[in-house]
Amino acid sequence: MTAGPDAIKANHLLCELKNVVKTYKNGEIVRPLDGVSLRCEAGDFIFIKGPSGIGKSTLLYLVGGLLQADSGEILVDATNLKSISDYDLTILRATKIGFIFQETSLFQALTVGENLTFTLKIINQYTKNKLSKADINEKVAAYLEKLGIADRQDFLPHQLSVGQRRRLMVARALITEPRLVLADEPTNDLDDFWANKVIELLQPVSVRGGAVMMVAHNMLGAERGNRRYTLNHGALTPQH
Amino acid sequence: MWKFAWKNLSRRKGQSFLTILITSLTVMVFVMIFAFYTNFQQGVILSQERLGADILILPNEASTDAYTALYTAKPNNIYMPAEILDAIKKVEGVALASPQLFIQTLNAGCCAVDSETRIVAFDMDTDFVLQPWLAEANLDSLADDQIIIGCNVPAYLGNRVGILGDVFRIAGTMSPTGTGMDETFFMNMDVAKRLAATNENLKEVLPDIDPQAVYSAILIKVQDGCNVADVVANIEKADLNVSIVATDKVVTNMKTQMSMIGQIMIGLWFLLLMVTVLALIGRFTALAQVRQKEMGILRAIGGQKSDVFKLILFEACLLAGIGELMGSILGIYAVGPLINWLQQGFTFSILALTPGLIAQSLLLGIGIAILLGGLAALYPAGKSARLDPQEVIMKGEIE
Ligand SMILES: Nc1ncnc2c1ncn2[C@@H]1O[C@H](COP(=O)(O)OP(=O)(O)OP(=O)(O)O)[C@@H](O)[C@H]1O
Ligand SMILES: [Mg+2]
Repeated sequence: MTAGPDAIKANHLLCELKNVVKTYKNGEIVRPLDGVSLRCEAGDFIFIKGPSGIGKSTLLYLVGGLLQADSGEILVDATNLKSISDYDLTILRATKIGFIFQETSLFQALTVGENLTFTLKIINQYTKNKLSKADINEKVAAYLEKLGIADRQDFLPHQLSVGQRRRLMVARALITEPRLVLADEPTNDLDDFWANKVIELLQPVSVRGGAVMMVAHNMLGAERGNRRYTLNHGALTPQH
Repeated sequence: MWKFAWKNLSRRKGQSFLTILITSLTVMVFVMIFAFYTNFQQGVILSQERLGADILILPNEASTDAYTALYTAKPNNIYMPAEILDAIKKVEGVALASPQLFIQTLNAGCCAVDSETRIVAFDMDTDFVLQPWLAEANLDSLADDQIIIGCNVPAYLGNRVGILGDVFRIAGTMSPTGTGMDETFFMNMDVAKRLAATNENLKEVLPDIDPQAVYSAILIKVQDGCNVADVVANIEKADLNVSIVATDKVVTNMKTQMSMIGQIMIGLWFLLLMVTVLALIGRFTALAQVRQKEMGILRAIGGQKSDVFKLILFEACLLAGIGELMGSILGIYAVGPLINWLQQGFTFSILALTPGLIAQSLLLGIGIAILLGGLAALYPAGKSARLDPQEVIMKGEIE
């Protein structure tokens, strides 16, 4: 999906937030985002740091089209998320975005390998150059290898360690080779080796002309970011 | 998506089990009632067809129990004078009239049939009721030492049977009729008369009866185009001191009763269906609730709302389908004993299960299962499809 000729274009605007406001109104009113603006171009590795409960996940959910902003605009690859149907939004999410969730988000009834295969099969519905069964198996094997869980291919998620689950989730987000990777604390539960490995794996996405938006509550991986922000009091502040 | 649904179920056996149990029990009851009822109804229809007579003339004393005469094999030794046959033949509208004489086997027998079984003796020259059966057994006529037995009469001594001191060859076994015919011996009138006249033991059972001069029943076929009721009226006018049974009326009465029983059954079916649908809605909603987070993930990685909807529905139908298979099989197995048990309380016997009936029951089961599963899963499927992905992904951890 990143292989198209326009994928490499420099300064290609992959994602843009304009004055985004998000409020939660169940019970006490919480406004984690209060006029957030951000531009994310091809090649960017955006690192956002912020304390727990400040709105980092909320920000990523908004960009991923899994949550709606109260006001402001969010564009992904020049498409205003507000202006498209749920159906098209789903396709956009499937084909252009890879989401690494902060929380365990695996299909419990599918094995490690099947979780990845299933993801590729879903993407296959939407793409012109369909992956063959062999392609899929090859990819799955490659990503399991990269994340060091090849020997756990036939395990069910509940038979994995927490860190192994996180690596599987990273594999699932990257295996579709998305333009935009939204990584919500992807190094949680990982030892230094795997934390660095994961960040390293995120890197090519931006090098290849995609972009990464990573949020974390610590500075691990911050040095990889070409642009760094802190989220606080509903706004992003650039860091140097 | 089918594969995914299947894995979701097969790797959550505990949860699937209860749902399958609910469905299979319901389907089982449905199939049992259906198989039983159809069976029952066919018995009634068959009796009518196979009885072949439009009107049955019985001795007046026998009038109390037309059903018994038609449907049971209980020996009843009540007779009417043979002259009545000639009178009947003269009645306007009567096309064929054939007499039958009922006698019986006795308990006394030491090496022969030892229970009291009805013997129906028929007149080869005038008979029109048994002819089709004879033809089916490839017989033109019955020799004096031959008998035909109903399908439920156990065969003794291979193809021979001793009756009232004589040995008879079994010329053929009738196909099931669902009536008393199934437990009856059929033999020639002359032979029966001879037996009745000579067997001392039987004479004791039939005191003061000259077997040569009596009949037990006269079967009448009315002329084409004649109204049965008119012919009945004509016979009544002849004032013969007999009881006249229009067989279609007996069958009609049976059918009315059947349809009432049928309505009650349908009512109960419906209630059962409602209860099951409610139970399944509960099950499927609970299952969908547990799966909320996964549905959110499915949406997040590119599954459409319709995929979520389909998935929940698929899973429900799969569960219901398995339940239906098990229920149908259980039901078919259980219906045999049920029929046997009920038979004791009814006046007529019921046919065995046929492959056609089993197939019908299975089809019905599938229909019900799809109805059950589909209906019950619609609401949770719709609800899951509309869920807000972010919310359920975040919430998932807590539940
Ligand atoms: N569905 C919701 N309803 C109400 N409030 C919510 C909801 N989701 C999040 N919040 C609130 O919004 C705020 C931001 O939540 P968010 O998950 O974005 O924080 P975060 O920065 O990702 O925190 P952490 O680092 O702990 O993951 C929190 O205070 C939380 O209570
Ligand atoms: Mg978070």
